[in-house]
Amino acid sequence: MEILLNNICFEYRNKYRRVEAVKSVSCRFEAGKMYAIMGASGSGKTTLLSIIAGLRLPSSGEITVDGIPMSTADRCKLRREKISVIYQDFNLFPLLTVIENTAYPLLIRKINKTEAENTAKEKLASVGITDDMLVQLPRMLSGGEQQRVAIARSLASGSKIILADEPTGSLDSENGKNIVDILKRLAHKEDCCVIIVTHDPSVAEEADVVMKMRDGNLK
Amino acid sequence: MLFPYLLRRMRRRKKMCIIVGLASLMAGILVYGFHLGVVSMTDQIENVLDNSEVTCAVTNLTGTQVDGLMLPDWASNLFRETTAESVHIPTTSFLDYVDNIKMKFSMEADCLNCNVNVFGVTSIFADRSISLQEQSIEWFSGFDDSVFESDANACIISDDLYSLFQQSGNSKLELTVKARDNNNLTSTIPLDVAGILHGKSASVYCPWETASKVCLDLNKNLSVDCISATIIDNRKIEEFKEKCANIYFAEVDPRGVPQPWEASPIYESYPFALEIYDKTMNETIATLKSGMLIFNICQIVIVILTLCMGFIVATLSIRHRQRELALQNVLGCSKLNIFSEIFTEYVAVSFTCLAIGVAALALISKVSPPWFYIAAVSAAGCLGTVAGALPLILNKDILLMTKTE
Repeated sequence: MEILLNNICFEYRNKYRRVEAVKSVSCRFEAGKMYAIMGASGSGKTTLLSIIAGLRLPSSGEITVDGIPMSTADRCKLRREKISVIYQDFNLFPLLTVIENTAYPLLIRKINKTEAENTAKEKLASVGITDDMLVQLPRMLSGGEQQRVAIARSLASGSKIILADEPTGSLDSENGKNIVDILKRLAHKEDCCVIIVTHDPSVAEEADVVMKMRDGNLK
Repeated sequence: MLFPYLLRRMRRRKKMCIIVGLASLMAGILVYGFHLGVVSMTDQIENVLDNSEVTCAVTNLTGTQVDGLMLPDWASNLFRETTAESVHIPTTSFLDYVDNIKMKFSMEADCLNCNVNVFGVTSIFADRSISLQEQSIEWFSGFDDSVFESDANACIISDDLYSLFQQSGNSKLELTVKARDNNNLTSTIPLDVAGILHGKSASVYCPWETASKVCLDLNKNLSVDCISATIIDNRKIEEFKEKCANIYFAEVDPRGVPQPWEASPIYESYPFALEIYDKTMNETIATLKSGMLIFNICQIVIVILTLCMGFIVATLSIRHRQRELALQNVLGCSKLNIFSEIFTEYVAVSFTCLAIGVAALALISKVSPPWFYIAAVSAAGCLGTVAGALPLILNKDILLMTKTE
């Protein structure tokens, strides 16, 4: 599992101005490692993450995932099967239970409901969500528990590329550390490629590779 | 699963579902209600057509109907079955369209040493100068109105003549009819007195068949003063005009030969040589038809409003749940899938409530639903939803997850 970025540029345009959010970024992300991209607000970290996730196409340059160019690939399929995104504010469906939230990506791949929920249970257990929480709604869980459910959802879809946009931003330090530990375990033990965008130095310390983003440039 | 946990997630959009549901229910009820209005108007039009008595009358070319009209034989023969060779019988007989025919002609005669007017009539009311308000008929035993439809040698006479008749002591009235162009040529017929006509003077009314025989014997032709009839089926008035009236009454040829209306140079000036008195009926029907038009327009307005509602609901729904749609996009739902889900939500709610509204009225009214307009409302709603949702879904920025403030 490998992500290659070759001279990626991205420009925001409207009729009043143009902003180059990402400037000629070239790098490589490999499976089995946890990467941290650090930078101040407005440096282009989230934009770069959305490009890697296939939510945007770069203005120029090429990005390949496992040798498949993003420009020609079915990006929705990539996100269903290979790439997951975790957000700072968890982004769970508020009216679905924990197990339903986790099973959702499998159901949109038309996997049988029972099988999907069994897989979801397994992944939830692996992130420390107990059985009594399975039928609860997200609002009944703590921040840390909700973020673990989000991680379990990523794992349930079978993704090997996990992109996390400030996953500890809404958590206290203890929960934040727990989440980072889970992500690290996924990278090292499950052979996932984990890319974390953060401006928290304590999170970056845990990463195998730290990159700094400044004014659209990645170092 | 095509749309996982759709019903559960729709609970977050309760208000929108209620609005769509109520609007669809109202649309169904209103469309059906207006249809009931149209049906009612149609029934009333049928009622008017069935119950209106429309008469027609032959008028002379000045547009008046007075005694001395002097229509040629062929005009009156159109209203009576005849095999006269000189008359061109229409392929479609007038008698297919009219009945209750009233015709009158007049002759001069001597009776009881008086000069009298003798009228041959198919009905006493063929003489438009007779009205029940001003005249009355005293029938003798064994006689009634039907005598005028027969060929009986009978008559009714005015008061003054009856007095003379009683004084004469005769059992029958001797009527000596004079030829029109030769007063020396006469024919005498004995008639039973069937009744007394109060309110007229020096008048004798005989059955048409009886009097016309005498007239034709003396004069070799018969000129009708007036003809009127009642239309049998008001729905066939236009057909009657097309097949009979226009062809034979556009112009009266001086020789009495029927002329087709297209050949008549004066048709445009005198289009009512055969006048059909359907103005009141037509005005009533026109009023009812304008009511129907209003109902139909209202139904079209409902269809347009449903189109707008679909558009607005789809647009607002997407804007309101942009975050949820973005999350679905992140999790790998394609744009087509997302659009299909929104469309399915709309269809499920709106069609259900539309069906409930229509079913409720169908049960109450027992009138068949207006399937065309129901289909139009459904299609309009779907089209509005597509028009509202599709451009937004295809917009690349709508489905991007943004950070919460």
